[in-house]
Amino acid sequence: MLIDLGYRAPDSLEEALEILGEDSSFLILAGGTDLLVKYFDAREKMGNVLDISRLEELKKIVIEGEKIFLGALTTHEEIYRNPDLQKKVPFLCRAAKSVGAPQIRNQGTLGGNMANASPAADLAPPLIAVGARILLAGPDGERSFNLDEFFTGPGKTRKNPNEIITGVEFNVPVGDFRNTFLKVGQRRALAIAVASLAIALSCRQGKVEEVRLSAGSVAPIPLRARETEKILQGQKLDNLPLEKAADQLEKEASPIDDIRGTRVYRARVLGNLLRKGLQEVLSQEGVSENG
Amino acid sequence: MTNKFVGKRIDRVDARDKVTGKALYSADFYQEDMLYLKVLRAPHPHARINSVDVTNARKIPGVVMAITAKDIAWVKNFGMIFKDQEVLVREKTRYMGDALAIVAAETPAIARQALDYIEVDYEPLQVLSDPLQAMDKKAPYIHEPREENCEPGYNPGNLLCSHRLERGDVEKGFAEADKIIENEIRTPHVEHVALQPEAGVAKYDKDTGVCTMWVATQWLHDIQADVAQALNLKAEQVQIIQPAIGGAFGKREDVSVHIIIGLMSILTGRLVKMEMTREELMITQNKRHPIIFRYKTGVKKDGTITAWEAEVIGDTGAYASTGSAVVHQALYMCTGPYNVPHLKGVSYTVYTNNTYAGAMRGFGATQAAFAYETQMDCIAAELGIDPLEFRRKNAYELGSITPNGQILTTSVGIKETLDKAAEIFGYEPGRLSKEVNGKIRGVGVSSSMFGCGYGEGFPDHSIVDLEVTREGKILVRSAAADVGQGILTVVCQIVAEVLDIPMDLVEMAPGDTHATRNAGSTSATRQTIFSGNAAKLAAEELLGKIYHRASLELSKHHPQFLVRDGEVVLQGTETRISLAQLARISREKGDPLQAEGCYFPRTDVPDEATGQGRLVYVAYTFNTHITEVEIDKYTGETKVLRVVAVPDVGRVINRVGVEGQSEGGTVMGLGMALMEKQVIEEGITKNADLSTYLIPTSLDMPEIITDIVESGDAAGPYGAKGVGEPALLPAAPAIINAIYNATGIRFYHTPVTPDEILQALQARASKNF
Ligand SMILES: Cc1cc2nc3c(=O)[nH]c(=O)nc-3n(C[C@H](O)[C@H](O)[C@H](O)COP(=O)(O)OP(=O)(O)OC[C@H]3O[C@@H](n4cnc5c(N)ncnc54)[C@H](O)[C@@H]3O)c2cc1C
Repeated sequence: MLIDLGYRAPDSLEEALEILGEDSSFLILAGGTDLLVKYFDAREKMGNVLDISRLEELKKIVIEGEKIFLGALTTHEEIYRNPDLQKKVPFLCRAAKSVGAPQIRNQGTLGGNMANASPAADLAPPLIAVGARILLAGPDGERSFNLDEFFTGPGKTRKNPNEIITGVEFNVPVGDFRNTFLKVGQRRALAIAVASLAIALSCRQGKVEEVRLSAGSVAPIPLRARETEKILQGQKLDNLPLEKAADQLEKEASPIDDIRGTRVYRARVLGNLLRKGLQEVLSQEGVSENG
Repeated sequence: MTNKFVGKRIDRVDARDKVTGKALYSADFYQEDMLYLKVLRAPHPHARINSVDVTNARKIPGVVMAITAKDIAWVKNFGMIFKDQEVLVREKTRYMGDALAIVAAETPAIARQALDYIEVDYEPLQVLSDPLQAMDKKAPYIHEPREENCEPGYNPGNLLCSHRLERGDVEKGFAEADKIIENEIRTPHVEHVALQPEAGVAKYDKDTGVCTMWVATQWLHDIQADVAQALNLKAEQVQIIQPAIGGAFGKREDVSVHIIIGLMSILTGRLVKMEMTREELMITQNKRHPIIFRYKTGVKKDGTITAWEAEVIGDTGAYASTGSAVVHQALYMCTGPYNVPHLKGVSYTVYTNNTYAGAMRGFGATQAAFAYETQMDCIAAELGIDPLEFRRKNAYELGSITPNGQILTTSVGIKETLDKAAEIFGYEPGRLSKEVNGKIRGVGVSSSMFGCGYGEGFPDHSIVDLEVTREGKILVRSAAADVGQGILTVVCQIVAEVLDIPMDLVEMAPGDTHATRNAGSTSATRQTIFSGNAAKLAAEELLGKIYHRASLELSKHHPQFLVRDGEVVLQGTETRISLAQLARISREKGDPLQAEGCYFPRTDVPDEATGQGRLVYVAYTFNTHITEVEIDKYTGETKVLRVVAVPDVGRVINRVGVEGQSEGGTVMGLGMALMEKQVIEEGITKNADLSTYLIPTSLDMPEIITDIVESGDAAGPYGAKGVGEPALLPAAPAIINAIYNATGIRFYHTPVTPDEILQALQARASKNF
């Protein structure tokens, strides 16, 4: 009754794609912090496993000016500890630091966080807010999506089973770029978000030039709050329609009741995270336009 | 004379083995040819079982045996006070943890998979998840009705027992009161989360008829007795050897894998091993009792309490376990360490289809402390008296009378704990909350009392045996279970102190029903008092024997020599005899250097109608916390910033031990106040894992300052009392009271979630608008 389980650990992306081309039933394994929990005590139900942890191509972090590429195998710890990322996208580092505990951060990867497609995935809101694209490679070639169009439901994405996420890329806005990530969990470590919010604000001449808001755990997928963004767009920094935006954000969310929090709390706290977060970014030192 | 070991900061004797991984826990036992056991649990919390069919499971290669209740008709029920629990259920399930079948297989994976091939045919019955509903006469019976124990008007199949407390005349007391304050206060199901899941290994020797098991328990001899009676064996046919214990907190007072591994070792004739998963043990094993307290307290304007009435309803779940004792202890501690002239109370212990509840750190006194400290805080607020001052005014002193009618004649340090805590904290009377950066801070006070030992006339004793070995070391034989609290160290310290020898010359034999004598349970905060006293008595007797033998050998009287560092030294001379030498001589003379100490104090059985007695517990430990919290107005999250903890332990034996208990108890209380609740809906647990049942992590730790009051003169060795459970008691109520101080919002239950705080804050803001 015990089945022989297939396990492959290729050394190159090409080889990995070949394996998937022949048999798309292989389960992709990166850090295993989601997968091995799911199959805890039920290893026999896992089937064939494709371990991608040796794919060097997927481990790169490339930062060229404002253009950033993060390989799918980048760990949370690597993101959070990277000094360039800390300077350019501090809210992404803050999100990475909020993940689990040191063991999880050293083992869990960006690609796994995206492919697992939990509405609570902590890297999703800041990456959506910074306008990231997600890059896929499959036996039939490469594809990419805007990250805010990638997720389709809890645990569901537009990725085909035979495609590997190779990484994400984005451009850090130039000029006065302010951002923050706030997360409410049930305790201070090892806590899945009850609600989270990433705020990315590009400012110019005392006004909001561009704003992106993305929230976790308040919808079936990481939410891009476009309607709330519209309320803030073009507004003066010293007179932001805070209450109106917070109300809209609560409306835009469609949270559920679960063991970690109620629907009502999630919506309510999300509005408050926007109030708190906007106050925080307003107090952040704006980068001068010439400098 | 100053002590060398007692009262000092002593490294734990078991620390090195635990830190280096040398200590063996039951799950570590491994042998190539052993069998692995898995248990099929109930498909429904309350169901009539028509059939359990293991035919297909037996056919699976690698499955050695699969049994149901039908195969073991000779096996008896078990249970600590009432034998109401079946090893494998025969006719119906009463909760989700009930066992229906056991599989023994060559690998854990095969055993686990075989469970999927067992077919169960059952009819669901009405599930009773609410004790108030279960108490009702109209509710279906969970157990066979027991008219003899039942209150008229209540459900005879579901009300396990009731207890009463009465002193003075409450009506008179209420008539004297200026104000009467009534509240209902509730606590939920809480899981112990001991680090190590339940596990054990057993082997049956056909020739000797002895079943030997390596499995953790808080009381070797009581579990031995229950296992033996269930399996129709004599007690000496069940040998339990204590491995290292991965935490307990009351969880390991109950039978878990013990009977099953014993049974299967006999049936298969092989070495068997069983390990529960976290999920399985959370659903199957005992919980902290959810308890409802209905309080009515009368007070005068000046803050004098005139009367207190209490109704206490405890949900013991599907089986009694120690439930009857836990719930009545909640009643017996219902007014805390405060003087109450007129008192009346009743408690009900009720069966439901929830996971059964039993012992957990505090044993009903934890729930009671949350209830009376909430009530005390409410009264103080109502009267406009500072909460610390109000407690101080009513706190026990020498001559005070406990709810059980015991007059306190010694070691009452409660007022000192209040004063010391206030001083260390820098407590400002009448303090109001303050707001810092969108965060509101508040301070909460809580005190508590705990009766040490089983008390109430329950047989309660410990025996320690000592022997000087050939190497001149002192071998200690005690069955006292070190569940992480440090009793082994305490015993070694006391032996070393009395015999004036280095601690590394004192050795503990492992706990073993066949080599160590009964020490009772590591529970009821009793081991330092009981095994500590037994160790002291034994060491004193051994010292006498050493004097005796030495005076014969040296032809001198003992004032002329002293025993020190493992030698007998003739004062002012070079003459000395090592203990090893002396032991050899004694053995040759047929009078080996051995001694025993037995501590068996008497307590009274409280009167059935009034709960009154003269000496109900051997000692009472008091503990005060002052706690500061910070609440995030945006999210409702509570952060505990600082806790000042001041227990009165009579006398310190191991200072780091007391501090460790205080810190551990504080964090456990933090979990209880803000996070912990096993959610059981209609008998089914919704959060049976550690990603949804949350306990505090190191990042949630507040600053904890523990200072100790030594009121002295208590029943334990050197005047000590216990601290294990009392360390927890004030923690949760101090936090909830601090939340009140910060926000003005009173919560009457635990845990208090960010959701509830935010809702309450917003409700109030909109009202004020
Ligand atoms: C204790 C604990 C705490 C946690 N706390 C948090 C937290 O606070 N916040 C949070 O967001 N997450 C948390 N997680 C979840 C998890 O750690 C993260 O989602 C992590 O980033 C997953 O990465 P991984 O490499 O371990 O994924 P894996 O488990 O290896 O894989 C997860 C899924 O992604 C697929 N996959 C992985 N990599 C790729 C790829 N390159 N291409 C295609 N498919 C791929 C796998 O097939 C699988 O379906 C926690 C997990 C645990 C166990």
